[in-house]
Amino acid sequence: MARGGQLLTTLSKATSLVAALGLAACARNSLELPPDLSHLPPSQRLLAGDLESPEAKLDCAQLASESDRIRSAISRNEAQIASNRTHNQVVLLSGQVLFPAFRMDEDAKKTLDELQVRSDRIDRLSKARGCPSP
Amino acid sequence: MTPVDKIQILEGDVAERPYKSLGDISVTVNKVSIFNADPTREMVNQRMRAEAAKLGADAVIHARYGTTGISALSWGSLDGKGRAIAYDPQ
Repeated sequence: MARGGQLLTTLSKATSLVAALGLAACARNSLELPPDLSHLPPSQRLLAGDLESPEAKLDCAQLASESDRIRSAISRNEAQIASNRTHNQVVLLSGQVLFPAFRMDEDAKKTLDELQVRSDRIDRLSKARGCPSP
Repeated sequence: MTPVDKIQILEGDVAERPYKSLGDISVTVNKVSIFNADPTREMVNQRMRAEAAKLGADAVIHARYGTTGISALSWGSLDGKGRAIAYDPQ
């Protein structure tokens, strides 16, 4: 009976480990593509909400600057996810299987998706205004 | 027709030249075993170029990438998406 209980506990821990590893190490899919607006002239390739967004108040130079800032933020988040992935692999391979040892990066992945949405919007606004390419 | 290695991969739209969309592309690069190196963006770009070439594209716009991690079928998986386009004749 006691052995059965131990087995269940071990199985429970193993299940938790697999679930934690899955969350901590799973791939993040790229964001879906924006709608195809190529049938419109560049000045009209905007989505609903673009002109009401905070980015719509920026001029070309500010849009370029914001685009650079977003690119840097994307790099930082990607670096963090890569670092977490390496850390989690080391934890797994070294047998440290306690749940808190894993670094989760769901927030960084969510932030990356949000940054991609903003980057797409800035690109549309820049092209619609005829801003020079960076 | 644009050679595969000359197909442009662009993260944004193209406003300078008229073009037509040929279709959306979605690719995934997997590593075979845990001991192989992780897939890179350049590998994803090469796969996107190959898919775009099949459609007769000159460029891939709105290119975007996932982040590497394990998936159901791989120890390391990286995906990418983009839209294949062909420039209108000048």
